[in-house]
Amino acid sequence: MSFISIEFALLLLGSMVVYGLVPRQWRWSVLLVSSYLFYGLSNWQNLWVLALITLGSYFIARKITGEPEARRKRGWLVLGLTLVLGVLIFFKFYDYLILAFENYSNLDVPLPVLGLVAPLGIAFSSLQVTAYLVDVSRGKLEASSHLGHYALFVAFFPQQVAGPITRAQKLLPQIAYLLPVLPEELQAGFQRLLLGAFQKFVIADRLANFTAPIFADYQAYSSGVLLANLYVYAFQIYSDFAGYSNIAIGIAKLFGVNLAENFRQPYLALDVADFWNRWHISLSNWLRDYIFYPVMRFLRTRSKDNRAWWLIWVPPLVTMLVSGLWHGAGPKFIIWGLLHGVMLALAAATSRWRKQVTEKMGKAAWVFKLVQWLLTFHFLVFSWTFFYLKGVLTATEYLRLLFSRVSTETVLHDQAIWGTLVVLGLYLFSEIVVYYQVFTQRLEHAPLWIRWGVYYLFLFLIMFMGNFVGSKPFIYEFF
Amino acid sequence: MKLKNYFRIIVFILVFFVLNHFIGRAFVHWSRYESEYAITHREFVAMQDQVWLVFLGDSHVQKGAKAGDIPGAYTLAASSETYPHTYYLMKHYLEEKDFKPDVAVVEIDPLGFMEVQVDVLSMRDPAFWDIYLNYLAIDANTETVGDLIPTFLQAKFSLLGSWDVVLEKIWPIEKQYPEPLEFGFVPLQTTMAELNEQKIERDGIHRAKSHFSEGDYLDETMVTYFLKLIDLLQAYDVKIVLVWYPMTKPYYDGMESYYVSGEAHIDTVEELLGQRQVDLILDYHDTFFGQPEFFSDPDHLNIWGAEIFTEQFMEDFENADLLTVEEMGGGLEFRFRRKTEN
Repeated sequence: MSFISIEFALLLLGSMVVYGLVPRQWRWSVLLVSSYLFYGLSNWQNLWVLALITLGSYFIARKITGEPEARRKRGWLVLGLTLVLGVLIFFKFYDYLILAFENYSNLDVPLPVLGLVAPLGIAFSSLQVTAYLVDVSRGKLEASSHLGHYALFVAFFPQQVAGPITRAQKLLPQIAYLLPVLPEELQAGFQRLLLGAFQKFVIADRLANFTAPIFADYQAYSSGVLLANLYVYAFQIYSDFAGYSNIAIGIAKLFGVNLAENFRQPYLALDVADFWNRWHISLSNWLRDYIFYPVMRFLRTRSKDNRAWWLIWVPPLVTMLVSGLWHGAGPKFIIWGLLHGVMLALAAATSRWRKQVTEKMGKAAWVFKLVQWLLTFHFLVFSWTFFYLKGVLTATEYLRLLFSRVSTETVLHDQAIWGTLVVLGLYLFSEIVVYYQVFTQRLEHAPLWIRWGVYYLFLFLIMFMGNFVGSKPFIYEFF
Repeated sequence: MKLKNYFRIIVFILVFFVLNHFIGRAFVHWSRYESEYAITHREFVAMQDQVWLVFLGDSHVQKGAKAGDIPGAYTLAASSETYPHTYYLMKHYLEEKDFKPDVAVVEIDPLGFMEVQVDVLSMRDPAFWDIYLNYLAIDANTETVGDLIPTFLQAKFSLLGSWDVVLEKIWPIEKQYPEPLEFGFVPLQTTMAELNEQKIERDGIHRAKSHFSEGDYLDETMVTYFLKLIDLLQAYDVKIVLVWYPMTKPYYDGMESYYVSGEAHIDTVEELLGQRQVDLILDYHDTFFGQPEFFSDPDHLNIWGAEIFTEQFMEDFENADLLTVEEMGGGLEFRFRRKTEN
């Protein structure tokens, strides 16, 4: 079951009605049942995986909390991480590794390929549970003593498919005390839903009409078209993922639950480090807290020189390698991750110098910032090639053609060009709405007729321009 | 929550439906007369009394059946037209417009029986189809596959996805339908012969995958209306010829791997027909295998392919002796008419 379905709309409406009717202390059970229904109707064969991770991590966390000896605590933590990450690695990498091994080894023994389908949202829930176990072991929070609340934390349906990855410290207290939903919260939830649906149906899916045929047949197009295609894809993937996040946040808000924010105008970043503070924020915070900082601390204890080059290069490379692998099995994600790792390290290595140059340039510093922005933006645009195309060879061939093929006979028709430009105009419009907090602040005190006018405008734009016949699943559903 | 908040929500929803109705009607009025369907039918209505043979179906027919080469024939087809569309159209022309063809050539391409066709039912140019389709009847006759909102309700939201209609009006992809149309036929001037073998193979498989990989073979709605169409035509003593239009080999191979084999499909159609008698079944799906020069894309004939296909069809039709020469338009003067250099 997808967010983009009538079945989900009915499940959501039904949940809201029942949620409003039951006493406060039982509201968590309504959300838990809805979450398992959502999961079961989408992917019933792997319901046992969700239950296994939930029960396993719950009891292991209880053991960690109750264990006084540090060594044993660590042992329970290792067991918990093995369970959670083992499931993730098994479903994500088993078939890929078997096939890779068969291709590259000389063994004649056929190895079993299981044709595994990753459980819904496994990549996201694994990270969420991992963070919970680590934080419990560090004493940052007490293990939950309520299995039902914890099960809801793991399975909460708005964020189940593709995040945001919300920390237990933020989500568990809300679940433990679900307040009546205020009209302002309903309104805020509706606004986020509207914005998310606009980004997904109007912008992302319409832009996909432009990019999909070009990616499918990129050898037929000139370098100009290939370049334009990359720009358009950059906006498409952002709108798709930000749209999903806004829908998830909006739905949670309808139940009075606040999820973590996930995007903050990522394409305004001046360097790749800044980008990762703006893009998929919940993931980058997770990577920072559970990979980057631990690696950094580990290297610092073994280095006498605080400015050693490996302190600058190794943590970001390791972090982004993990990020790449988390996104998928295959060399292309590793390369994508390492590219970002290199750029992160460069950003760290040059940050002092850049600050000095900015200060020296005074009023003309905007020129330097513009250059930084252009370089960062284009790096991001080109790096998405590895994200979309099937493999490393296809991606590098695409980039080669981008720089070597000047023209071809295949041209884009006016409808593709002008239609896409209109959608890009709407993309700018949506970014302005977000940047100036139109929904959250400007409309709050506006007269009713203005608020409703804006809502109807968005609703009818979604209906009119939304690509429903050719609607595609959310890109990040596949991770 | 206070009562006034519930009241506001209800008012908001009601105002939305009212606005949807009026904006939808305005859009329908603006777009109705300019759509591909509207242009085709305007021409057809003007000459329907002269038509004894009508080709029915979707874009395979619209681009493949060169009715202008057959005196008294008309290609009454349109892109994405499904069996429910065709049924209600023919019902309208037979019952209300006194249209009396001798022969109806009905397409039986496997794609026409697919579940995904249901999605286009209410989304595709509802402005035009509003006046023909009886959505309530469609919902009553069949289970609305995969949808919990009945088709007739979906049709009330005629704005849904209509940006495509605007795009096509402002920036038409190509002049696909010259006015006047060539008896409903839309000639495609490009050819796949310019492509290399690998590209032809890849295009065919890609297209077959995009068509066939995501839906079930026999959709109940499509099958029901296919049979209702047959029954309707028989009730008016119209001779029925079922035709499977040509496609490229890679496309066919892709279709076989994702969907159904050619042999199995013809057998299935015959099984579906059961006791119903059709006059002729002609299977041309492999007629142009290995001849990409007759295709504009993996499953659409270009103008050269359409000419040869139509000629072949008429030869087979004549050989079947379903009609006398006089019924087909007159004595020895009736000959397959083709615009050639000679």
